[in-house]
Amino acid sequence: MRGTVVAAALVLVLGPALAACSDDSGGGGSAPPPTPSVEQPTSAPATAPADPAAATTQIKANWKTFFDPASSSADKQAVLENGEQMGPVLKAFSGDKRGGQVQADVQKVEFTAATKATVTYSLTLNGATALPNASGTAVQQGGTWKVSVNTLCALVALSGDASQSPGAGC
Amino acid sequence: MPRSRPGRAAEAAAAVLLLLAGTACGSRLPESDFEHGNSRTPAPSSGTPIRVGIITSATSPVGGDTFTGPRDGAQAYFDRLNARGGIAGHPVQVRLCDDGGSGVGNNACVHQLVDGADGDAVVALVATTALDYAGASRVSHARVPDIGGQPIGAAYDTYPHLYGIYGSLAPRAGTPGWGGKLYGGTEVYRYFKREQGARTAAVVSYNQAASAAYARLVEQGLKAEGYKVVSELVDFALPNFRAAAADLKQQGADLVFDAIDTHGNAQLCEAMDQVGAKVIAKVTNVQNWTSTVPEDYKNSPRCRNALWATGSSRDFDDASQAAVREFRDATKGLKTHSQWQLEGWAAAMWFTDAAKSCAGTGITRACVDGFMNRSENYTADGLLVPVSFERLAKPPTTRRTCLSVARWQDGKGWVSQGDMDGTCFDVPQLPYSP
Repeated sequence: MRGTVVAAALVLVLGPALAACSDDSGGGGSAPPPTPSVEQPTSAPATAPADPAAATTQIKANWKTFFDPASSSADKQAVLENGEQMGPVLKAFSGDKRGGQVQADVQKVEFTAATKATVTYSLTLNGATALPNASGTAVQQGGTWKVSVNTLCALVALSGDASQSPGAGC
Repeated sequence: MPRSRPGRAAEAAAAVLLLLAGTACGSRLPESDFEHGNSRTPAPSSGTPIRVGIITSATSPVGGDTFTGPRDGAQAYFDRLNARGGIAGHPVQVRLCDDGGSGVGNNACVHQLVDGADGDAVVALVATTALDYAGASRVSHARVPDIGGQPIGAAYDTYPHLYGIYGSLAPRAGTPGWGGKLYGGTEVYRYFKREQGARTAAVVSYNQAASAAYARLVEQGLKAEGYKVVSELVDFALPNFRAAAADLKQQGADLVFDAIDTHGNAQLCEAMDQVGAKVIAKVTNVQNWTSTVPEDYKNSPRCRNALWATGSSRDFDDASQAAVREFRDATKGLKTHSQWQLEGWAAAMWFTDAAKSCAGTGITRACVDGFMNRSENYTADGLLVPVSFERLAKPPTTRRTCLSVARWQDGKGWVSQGDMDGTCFDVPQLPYSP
């Protein structure tokens, strides 16, 4: 199977949500900013949660939920960083008919902090791999490991359309 | 004489667009190997730390390894600098920020590093490599020098206080280029015509907007240099690379340029080997100038050994150069090497030279910015084609431009072709939209 075939389709799928995902206006929105991932090279903060195995299991499960076409919007919002503010983007991401065919498979979770992890995953469309080596971040928010806003916004922006209109969430 | 290459912006931007459609190839080093590596060793230098920020799309849907080269090169430089006492006794403290490949993440990184939410704002940004540099205007507004960033978008030809690794001739007063148009030269095409005797060039692209736009730019340049151009359009959904390879062979193409992704290129190369297409050069750009060629093109030995890369910095594989050897010695621990790493190393050196010049009066944003703004033919110890920032009121029509060229040879790696400082051409400058 050619990755490009599905990548093309995936780009189309993600297109509708693009307008909501390029804020060049310099802030001022109502949603809180996503967790910045500045690292502290000289200090030694915890680089993993207390129970990495449990956290890894939860991250995998929650990513699956987020990218599962069968999940409800509420379910998805519950596993998305700042989920309650991300409604419009999420709606555009999930609402497209073909958007419902995108699924994610987490291959690797690496913790970079007690509340943050790098997630390597593949995105499939109708079971065929579209993005085999995608990389994103999971953040722990309110005790739950969630898909980061950055990760969703980068996916949504993948359409390649250079729309500049700012929108809620991204 | 200014000799940097403004056209690199288009190339980088297009290549990134194409990457978006692509898939990752080869085995790469996981992020964690970089993030927790030797960069954390305590510095022997003991003065007040000088903070710099590196914003990278370290995670992104196109793969965790795609944009990290400049960051790793810059970190290696600062590690070595600190081991040798830092800048006038002050260690450089690097703040990394992964923007996740998104504009919103980029803005958050800029806010964190520039506004210093935690009271630790940086003096400068170095080797920025962002898929969507949405925070560029904010960096500029805060007058934080952004030094040696990769021009993936048009930001480095748009805003003051931003200093891209290849320089800029544009006014940079808030509008991209000149009235929204950027300009690029035809030096790559001139090189292969004059030095390698090429006359016919194939351009392979997808029937997809980003790919087609970049292919048009390449074809325009080739035609300006008098080439016979063979356009090979490949279906994005069901690419028949074998047909394209057979046709370019039949039409006698000496060169192959492309506007397709890495995965597609590997398939194209395989097809070229299968149909027995022999070309002078399969030409690629700085983003593919890496040590991973054997894995990326493992099934196409002939095509692989016809790979040529062009750019504006000295071949990272050229150990005959002392400055390159220093880079290689300091990056021994990295599993792969790339031209982008070397350019990140050069960016860090640029910041260091600026900071050193300010050591007497105080290493402030304003002082470092002043040094950068005065940059004229900066070369980072000979690693870069001389870089300047000119602010020309009108776009140039022609320009003398130098070119770094290397070709891949199994067993030898990337072999430099002539010296980049002597491989220079007076070429026309063609407009394009970013």
